[in-house]
Amino acid sequence: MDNGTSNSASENETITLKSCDGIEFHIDARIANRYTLLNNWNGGESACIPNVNGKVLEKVLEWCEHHINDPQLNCGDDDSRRRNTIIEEWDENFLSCDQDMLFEIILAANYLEIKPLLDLGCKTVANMMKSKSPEEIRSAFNIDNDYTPEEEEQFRKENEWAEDY
Amino acid sequence: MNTLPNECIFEIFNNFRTNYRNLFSCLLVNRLWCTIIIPILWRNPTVHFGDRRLLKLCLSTLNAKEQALLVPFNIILPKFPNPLFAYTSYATSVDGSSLTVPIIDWLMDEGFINGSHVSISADNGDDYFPVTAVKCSLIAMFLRTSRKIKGLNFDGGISDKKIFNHLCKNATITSLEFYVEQFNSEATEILVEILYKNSITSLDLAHNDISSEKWNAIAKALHQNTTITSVNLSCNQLDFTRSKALIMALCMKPTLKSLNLFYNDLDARCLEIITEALCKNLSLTTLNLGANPFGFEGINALMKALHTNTTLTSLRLYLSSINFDGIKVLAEALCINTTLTSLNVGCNFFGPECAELLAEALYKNTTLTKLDIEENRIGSSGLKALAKALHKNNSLTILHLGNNLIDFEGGKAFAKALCVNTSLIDVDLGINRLGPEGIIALTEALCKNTTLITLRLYDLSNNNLGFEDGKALAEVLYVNTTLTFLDLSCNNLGPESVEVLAEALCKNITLTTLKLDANHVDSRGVRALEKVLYMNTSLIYLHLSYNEFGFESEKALIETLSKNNTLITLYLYRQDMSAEDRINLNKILRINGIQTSVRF
Repeated sequence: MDNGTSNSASENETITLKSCDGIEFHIDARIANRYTLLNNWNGGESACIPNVNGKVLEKVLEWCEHHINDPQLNCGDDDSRRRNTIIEEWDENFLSCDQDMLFEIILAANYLEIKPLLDLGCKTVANMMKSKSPEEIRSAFNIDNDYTPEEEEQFRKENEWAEDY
Repeated sequence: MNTLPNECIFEIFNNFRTNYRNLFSCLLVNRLWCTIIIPILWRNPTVHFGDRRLLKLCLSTLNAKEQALLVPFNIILPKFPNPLFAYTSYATSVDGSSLTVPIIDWLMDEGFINGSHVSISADNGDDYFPVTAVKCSLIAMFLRTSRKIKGLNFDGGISDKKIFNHLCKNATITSLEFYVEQFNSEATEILVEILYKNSITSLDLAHNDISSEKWNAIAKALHQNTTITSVNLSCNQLDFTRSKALIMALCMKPTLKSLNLFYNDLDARCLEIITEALCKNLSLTTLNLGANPFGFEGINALMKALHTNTTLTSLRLYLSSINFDGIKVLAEALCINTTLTSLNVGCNFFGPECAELLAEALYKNTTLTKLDIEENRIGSSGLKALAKALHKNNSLTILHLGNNLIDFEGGKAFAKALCVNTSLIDVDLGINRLGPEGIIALTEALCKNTTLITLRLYDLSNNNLGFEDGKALAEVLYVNTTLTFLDLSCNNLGPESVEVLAEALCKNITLTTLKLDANHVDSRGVRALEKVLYMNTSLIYLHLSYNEFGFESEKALIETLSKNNTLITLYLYRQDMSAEDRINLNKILRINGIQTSVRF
């Protein structure tokens, strides 16, 4: 079956990936073929992924495995991306982990250039911010307010037109 | 969150790129987020100039030179505090036409102009000078401050060359819409300069009034230009004398892909130049020659060129007075040409015999995918011939047959074709007289057809559609699983029909767009549609404008949206909406945190 990948690999081929803390994962070669960066490392039988630890790499690979037969979307196509504002149930459950893990997954997806997972992670974080006040967002994500009160007031004034759109 | 690099944080906020309210909240969280969000929020500021605060902020960015444009009209800007950010430097497009009304409102409120001035200038269809001055000063400011502007739509008079000096320096603009009230030699000089210097790929000069001599200068510049791919010269009173050099320059360009010459005075001699170029097969893929008096001689030459041309994929000959002889040569060309995929011969009033000629061609042609023959009086006999061809033709995917005097017999013949044909995905049968019998036949076919995605059945209001038709249409929504776009607007369907349709929509999982504008939907119909918003998970766009319900129903619909996760836009335009209703509906949207965009 053509999964939209240019490089075809049979279902039985496997590759070994090693996380930065030395944990090995045996994955379907089609996953590595699908994503550029994994593919670049796919020189020998095993490849080391620096910067991503075993716990996070396990999650990322679980996601890749589940989505192995997805059609590859044209990421530049705004319309197709907008149509996907809804997150599928499986993905929603997959990402309902603690915040630290969610950010680790986004970081790894960004580092490994797994665009659909990056989009999904970012969309999930965006959904957590939806319809919240600045103060609610700060407390939800444990962020300090580094504005001076005057500065905050001026930024509010200069951009409050946006509140009505 | 603090561990994420800025590019990831940008991706998060980019999800809100059309949801300014969320962007605004996030912007106030901390300094870092603010610097990431402002470039997203300020991409297209001119579109939102209806908001006075935004207009004032941009006026505060005018420098002394730009403010000097306003001095002759005694417009003195109040002292504004300096903005904290160079907001305007993030603008990627400037839409001059959307500035006019907000500027008039502001000038009137500030007492710089009064209503009588504006009504005089509005009668002339021109912008009033002070308005133009403010507009020019703002455009000059955007061009000075932003290096990201890719598209500029400039309409209105030129009051100062400063804008264009900026424009000529600004090398990022690739798309230029240029409309000037009086296309004087200064405007020509500027345009010529842009064409020589800039990297313009798309040029739109529609609706200008330009003399022969100026066209020749523009033609010379276009001849030198090596970047242009798309040119729109529609509505320019171009005749042979005015356009000869221009058309020659354009047609010989190896970069030009799209040329729009709609509504000019082009005769057969002009078409000769174009057809000569088409015979040489340069790069032209899209050509619009509609509404030009080129006569049979012109169409004959053009069609001969199509015998050998292998680049042109889209041809528009809308409103071109093409008669039987013209369609005959066109049909012959369609039997030979294997490149053209899209043809529009709408509004030629050519009658049923010509439809028969086109039908004959459709037996042989296997490349045409889009055919638009609206407003041609083809009648049922014309459609019968086309329908028969559609039993065999398997390449046409889009067929527009609106406003063609088609009655139930044509409807029935077409329904039969839909049971067999497996290529059509988009059909327009609006403004015909299909009658209940035609509609029932069509709905039966739609229960069998599994390829059609888009169906337009708008404005069949002379058809006296009743409850039976409503039920038949609802049946389609239960059975059919391919249709995603259905236009039933302007059909006087009435409350009972809307109720059965709504019931079906609760079960349907494929339709993404439904247009039910102007169908006498009342509060009872709205109650049924509220249920749809609870149950349905496929609709993305729902059009309910110009119906017979008011504020209370609108409020109920909007409140229900908090339970719906799929709808992107709900259209609720009505003529008599008061400012108070508008404010209250906006409030309900905000209180309930509704993410769906509601247009009213």
